[in-house]
Amino acid sequence: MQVLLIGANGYLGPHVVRALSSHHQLRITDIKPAPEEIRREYPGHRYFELDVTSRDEVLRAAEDAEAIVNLSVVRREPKLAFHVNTLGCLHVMEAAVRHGIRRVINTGPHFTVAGPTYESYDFAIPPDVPPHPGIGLYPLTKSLGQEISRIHAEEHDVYVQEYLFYSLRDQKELKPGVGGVPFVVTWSDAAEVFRLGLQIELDRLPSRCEVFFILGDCPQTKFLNEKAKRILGFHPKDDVSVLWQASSASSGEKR
Amino acid sequence: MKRRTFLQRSGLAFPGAAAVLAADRVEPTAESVLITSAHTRLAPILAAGLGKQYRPVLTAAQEIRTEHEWRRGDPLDETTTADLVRGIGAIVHLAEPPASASTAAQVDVRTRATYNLLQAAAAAGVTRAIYISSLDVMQGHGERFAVTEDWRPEPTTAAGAMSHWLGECTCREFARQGSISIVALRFGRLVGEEEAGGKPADRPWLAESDAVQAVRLSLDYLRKRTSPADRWTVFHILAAGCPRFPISKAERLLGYRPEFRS
Repeated sequence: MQVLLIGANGYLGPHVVRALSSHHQLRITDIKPAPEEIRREYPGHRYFELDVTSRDEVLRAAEDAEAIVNLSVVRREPKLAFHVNTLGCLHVMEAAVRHGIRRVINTGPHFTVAGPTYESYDFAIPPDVPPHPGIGLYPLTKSLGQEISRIHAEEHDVYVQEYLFYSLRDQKELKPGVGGVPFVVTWSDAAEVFRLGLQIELDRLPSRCEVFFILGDCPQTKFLNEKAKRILGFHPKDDVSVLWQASSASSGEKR
Repeated sequence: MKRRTFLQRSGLAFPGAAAVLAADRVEPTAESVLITSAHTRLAPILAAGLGKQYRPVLTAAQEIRTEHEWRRGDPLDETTTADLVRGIGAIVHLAEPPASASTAAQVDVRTRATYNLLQAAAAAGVTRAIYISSLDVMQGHGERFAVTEDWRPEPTTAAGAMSHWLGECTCREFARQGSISIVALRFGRLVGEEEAGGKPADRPWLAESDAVQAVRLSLDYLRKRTSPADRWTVFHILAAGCPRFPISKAERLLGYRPEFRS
């Protein structure tokens, strides 16, 4: 499959390239050029610069593509966050509609849907809650982009999968007792879900717009990864629960 | 030479001069209401309509001719928003992009400008805002239904409908967060007074005078309703008698009585 990757040179991008490179023909794009080591490691794919805030550039880059994976993100700069996170989704969806691309994968943080009014109060939070991103720049702009994608998917024959993450770790960081937020996945497990999302038959998706929480099996059961397992066949290989393993020194030996 | 004439001839249309011009007609203690998008037809009509009870303050990126106070600034520029909201009691946010703006530009104005404005408002302690939205956000529902504010918005990808809805989403998060109470008014298609008479009531249109009434009533509503449950309220505002969009909620909670009916 011809897959357009947008924002492929960020944190998650190289892992996604690794997961997809032997399965698909990739157009690896970003606002910055790809590092030489990535080009050397994964030759045979197209590399070029692409600004997701430019509608024309996205339209040209998406021509003859069969899927778009949007990894672009800006977290802090106000104007750019709206232009990348919100308008970037608009450009991606317009390109998908224009070129008859039926498969789009967007990415974002968990609080694209589950902002403070969920996170501070609830447990067993699934991804299909009504979005409450809050007024933080990053989650709100991502949520607006997700809503643009949903509106387009309702009207056009485009299937959007939204993958939401929170904390991503290297496997070697999975050490007992380190702790962390109850929404962790390793980079390699996270990347694998993109391969699944490009592989799934579209009519197996419940609707044309589906949100998934992508996390390992976190023992707190604060956020649920059940939907990603059930629908995408996501089975994290890395055991993140070790992060919260109690150490023997604190296991109550004092009486 | 009178003070007003001197300032006008001098071209000294800076915000301070406008306040001087306005001061003769309005009680100094009247609450200031910021009205954005002064370039629209509706903004000065709103200013005139609210002027007896409030001190309207228009905003414009470029200099404008107006008898009301105005402040130079553009909510798209977050460096200007603190000055726009200084001393303001409430905001009426039209969020209207320039005519023939692209889809992306319309989305940008209704989301990013709204975000910047409400961020500044919350920081300045402004607790009330009205967002002017559109009944277009309900376009996706079939015409055979009587659609009220309790129905889920179903905007199409048409620029106006989608961008108005995204503006509502932005406002709703600020209301949810708690620092500012917001009324979203979904207007029918605005028509001037001269067009309003004799119009069939089966289309969702709205006379400008009734739009002013709805805004005025919403400002009163926001002042009286202070419980957390009232932080986000939506009203459909149009002429009476349109079967597709009943106005009973606005009639009941605002006391809205549109002048123009079938």
